[in-house]
Formats: sequence, C-alpha cells, structure tokens
Amino acid sequence: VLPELDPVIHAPSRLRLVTLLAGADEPLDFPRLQQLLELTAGNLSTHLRKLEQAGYAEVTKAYRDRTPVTWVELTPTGRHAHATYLAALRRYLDGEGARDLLRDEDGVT
Amino acid sequence: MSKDSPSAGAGAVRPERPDRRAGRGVGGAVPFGVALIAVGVLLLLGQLDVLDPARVAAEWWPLLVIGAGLWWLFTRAWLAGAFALGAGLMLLGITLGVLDAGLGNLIFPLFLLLVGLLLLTSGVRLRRATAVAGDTTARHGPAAQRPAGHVDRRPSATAVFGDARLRLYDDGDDPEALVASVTSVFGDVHVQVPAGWRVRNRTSALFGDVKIPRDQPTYPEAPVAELHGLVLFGDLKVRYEDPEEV
Repeated sequence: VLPELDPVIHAPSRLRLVTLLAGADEPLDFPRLQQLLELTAGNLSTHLRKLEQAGYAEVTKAYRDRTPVTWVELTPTGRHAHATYLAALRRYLDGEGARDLLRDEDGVT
Repeated sequence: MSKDSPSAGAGAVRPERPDRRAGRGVGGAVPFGVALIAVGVLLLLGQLDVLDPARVAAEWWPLLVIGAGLWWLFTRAWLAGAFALGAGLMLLGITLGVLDAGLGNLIFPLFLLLVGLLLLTSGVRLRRATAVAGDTTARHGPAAQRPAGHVDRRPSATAVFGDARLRLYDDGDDPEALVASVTSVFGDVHVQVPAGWRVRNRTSALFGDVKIPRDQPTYPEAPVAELHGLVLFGDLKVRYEDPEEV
C-alpha cells in the first residue's frame, strides 16, 4: 500500500534535477543546471548519466559560439516517472498510505 | 523554445561537429592494406619469374618495420614511430649487408634505447604536469569531504616494486582539466577519480597495463582528469569513486 519511491529520482540531487527539468518548458543547458542546482560539474555529470541511463533524460550536444554545450530535457518516460513519484510521495505525506496499510492489517487480523 | 536551445535551428547553436577520431577505424586499415598490396605484388612478380620472392623478403622485410614507423609518425605517435623507423633502418642495413652486426647483439641496446626514450618523454610530460595546480591526495572537494592536512599542489604517484594510490577530489572549482602524473616501475598505481569525470590517458606504457574505466561520461562540460607518466612493467588502474557517495 505504501508505494515504492523510484530510486532513480529519490536521491536528493536527482530529485532537484528532475524537478527543475520537469518545470522547464524547454531544454536547459549544462552550465545553467549547474548554476541553479549549485552542483559541481562532476556531480551533475554523474546524476545526469543516471537519468540518461534510466531513459528519463535526453541529452543533446551542440555548439554555441564554438563552445560545446550539453542540453538536457526530460523524456516522456522521465515526466511520467516524475509524476508517479510525486503521486507516491503525496501518499506518504498526507498519511493516506499509512492509514490504508494499517486498515488492511486490521482487516487481516 | 529559447533562442539558443538545441531545437532552435539557426542561430547560436550548430549541430555537433563530427568527431575527428571517428575515421580512425578506417585509417587503421591503411597500413595493413598497403602491406597486403606489397606482398601481393611480390608474389605476382615471383609467379612471373621476375624475381625470387623468398630472397627479396629475406633482405627487405625490415621495410615493414620502417613502414609501421612512418605510419606511427603520421598518426603522431612520435616515440613509437621514431623507434620503429630507427630500428627498421638499422635492420635493413643488416639484411642488406651495409651494417656489420648480428641481430641478436642489437636487441639489448635497442631495448635500453627505447626505455631511455620513454623515460625522457615521460620526464617532459611530468614537467608539464606539475605546472598545473593540483594536489596529491586532494585536488578538489568541499572542505567536508576533503581530508584535512597537507595539500600538495602537484598530484603525482610513484610505485616501484610496490603499490601507490592517488585519490582525486572534486571541490567544484571546475578546472578544464586536472593533470596528474604517475610512474609505475614493476609496481601498481591505483588512481581514484571523482564520479562524473572523464579520464584521459596520456601515459606511456611499456610492458605495462593501463586500465581505464570504459563507462565514462561524454558531456563536454564534465571535468577531465588527465594522466601522464610512465608505466613500465607495472599497472595503472583507474577507478571511479562510488557515485552513490556524490
């Protein structure tokens, strides 16, 4: 009854990253993500790879003024996973999941 | 869609440039193809009784070594190219009777020559490496992660008949590249790199093994740890820190 929380999203840095990407209407570039999330380039790179490997984020590499830039956006799978995560979290936060679990247990005993 | 986002098309963003190294797989077939053509021509001329392939091969086989040397020079593998070219010319001199020396007598001096060249070139690289700021046990890292104490600004590790470990930290200064130098002579050097970094191997290995993680990030913004130095009858093992620690 208490739903699983997606471990790919649940890590604090990745939750912030996914939330930011979910709230953006357009792809965000690597330096901006780094600045907004206050992560080191290495840490952002690590979390980005996790999201990419899970199929939650899509990365596009391009050049801007001869400088390579990585653009990131959530895939439909990533957006769905984020929505599912939020719904699951709500069940934790409003206590509904816990009440359902206790009710089920009382019914069994 | 913003003006400079990847889908914006014209404007500040251009599609990714093709990787120059992408053609290397094809380029690597060139020397092999040339060698096959040479052998084919030789056999053909033999069938036509123009020359004796066995005798020609016995005298001119060092041309293959010379060709390999030229190819390596062409691909900017200067050390291997220079060595192969020099060795090939010397061997050609012997097979043609210009030089009076036995092949067996040359192996040891040639080996010493190669090791000396490797040491010299790795020395140059080490000097370059130490010109870049860094530290032995901690390069970057928030103060909470970085071990307190001495901070060496020259990240290096040397293992001679033993093990040495070098751990690099990420403190968010975001350098374009951190250069560390390693020397392994009959020993193992273990380097731990922060998760999310790219590792670039610039070491010279002679009868040594360099193990670099294959699963590396490809983002151009990811920091780079560049490893220079010499691996001689030893191992250089690079691994990432546990990404879950990030």
